[in-house]
Amino acid sequence: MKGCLHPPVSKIKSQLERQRYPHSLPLLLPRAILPFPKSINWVQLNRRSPAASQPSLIFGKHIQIWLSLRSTPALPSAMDSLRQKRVNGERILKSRKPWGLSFHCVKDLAIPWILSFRTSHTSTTLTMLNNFGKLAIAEIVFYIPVLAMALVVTIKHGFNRRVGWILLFIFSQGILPFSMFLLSIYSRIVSIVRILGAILSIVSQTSKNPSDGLLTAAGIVQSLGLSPLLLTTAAFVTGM
Amino acid sequence: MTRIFFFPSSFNHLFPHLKKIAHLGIHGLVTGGVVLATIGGIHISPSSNPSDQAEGHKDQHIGVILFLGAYLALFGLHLFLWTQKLVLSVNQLRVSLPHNLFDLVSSFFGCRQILRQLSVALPFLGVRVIYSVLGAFTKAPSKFSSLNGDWRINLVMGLLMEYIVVWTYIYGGMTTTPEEKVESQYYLSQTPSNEAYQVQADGRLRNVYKPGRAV
Repeated sequence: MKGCLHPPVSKIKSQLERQRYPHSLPLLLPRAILPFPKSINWVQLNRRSPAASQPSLIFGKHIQIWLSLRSTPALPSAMDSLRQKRVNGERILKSRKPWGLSFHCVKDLAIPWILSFRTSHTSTTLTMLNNFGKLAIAEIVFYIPVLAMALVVTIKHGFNRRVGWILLFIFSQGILPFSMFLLSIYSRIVSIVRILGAILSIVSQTSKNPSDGLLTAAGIVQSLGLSPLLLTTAAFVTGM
Repeated sequence: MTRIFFFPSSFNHLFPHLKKIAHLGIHGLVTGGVVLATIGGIHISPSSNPSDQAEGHKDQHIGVILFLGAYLALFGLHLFLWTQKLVLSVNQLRVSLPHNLFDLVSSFFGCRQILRQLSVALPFLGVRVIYSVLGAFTKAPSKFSSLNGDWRINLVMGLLMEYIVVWTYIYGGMTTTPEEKVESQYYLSQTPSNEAYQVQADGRLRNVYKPGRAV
């Protein structure tokens, strides 16, 4: 085969290795900054016609190789055969990263949203709010993980307590296993009340003619936020 | 000092009852506070007449005082539990009251974890209670109002304090062992030991019997 590119043996070896461990190499460099495609298909390159690699210009050869490499698909890896799916008798690949709500997903949604604060309609909503309204937004954002974690604590400590004679015995001995059950429920109520109060204050600020009932409800919920916190502490102290 | 604070061992059997009474009392205070705050909030609403509004303010004052009473009761109970940590703790190391800083620190960390969490959270809760007391008792355009006051004070004294308290409790809930496991561990530790089994950290039994082992 005259005029062909002779692939170095090490390249073929590394390609075979990559075929075996498909995700080991691409972790080293992100594909976007590589000057060449991720996988150079040396085997297919050999099978190309010799005319494709004829030097015409000084850099023309390299440009030709570059273009041909861009057009050739990578060798099917072992993972690809696993990812294959048949649709109407035709083999297609499933999506490469079947992550549901991954970091990239959140990032791709969140960054344009944050950037749109400057110009879009969101800024009009934000200018309608005073500092308390902005604090309310922050409150909603900060209390959602609290809600989730309180749910986790509730699940961990169980929804119903099993009180047997052993427990009575332990109590009468004075060794006191504190019940976290009520505690977790109360902390969930805290977060729900806080979120509700925040929503109410946002609504009362953004609406043009807030009704008296709305203002009253916002005030009441703000003043009630303390009570579940105190009840949580009571559950902590007395263990009941 | 020690004699004054430590109750005799005959006190132990009274403890569950005392606990129940304290719990009911605190619940009563908080419930009363909730009811009064709600009624006061309804009376205060802008559409009602001035006499109703004055009544609403009075109701809110009483409600806030009830909250403060509940907090003070909780704080007192918490101090009492510190004196009773001999009774409370499962693996108690220190017997005496702290005499120096090292004793203080080591008794703090030698104690049950719940009590530590409580000691961390209660000062922050106190600031939050003081904030709501100030908001209720100062005149109408006040800095301490949670609706139209100073937002920086609201952020620091209200929201931040609440957030710290809530996360302290959630941390406590995540790091403590569930009650049933504590029970089962205690029960298994009290049963006459069978050499063929070991109690694991999660309370289950593990068969460690080996035929050649001397029993």
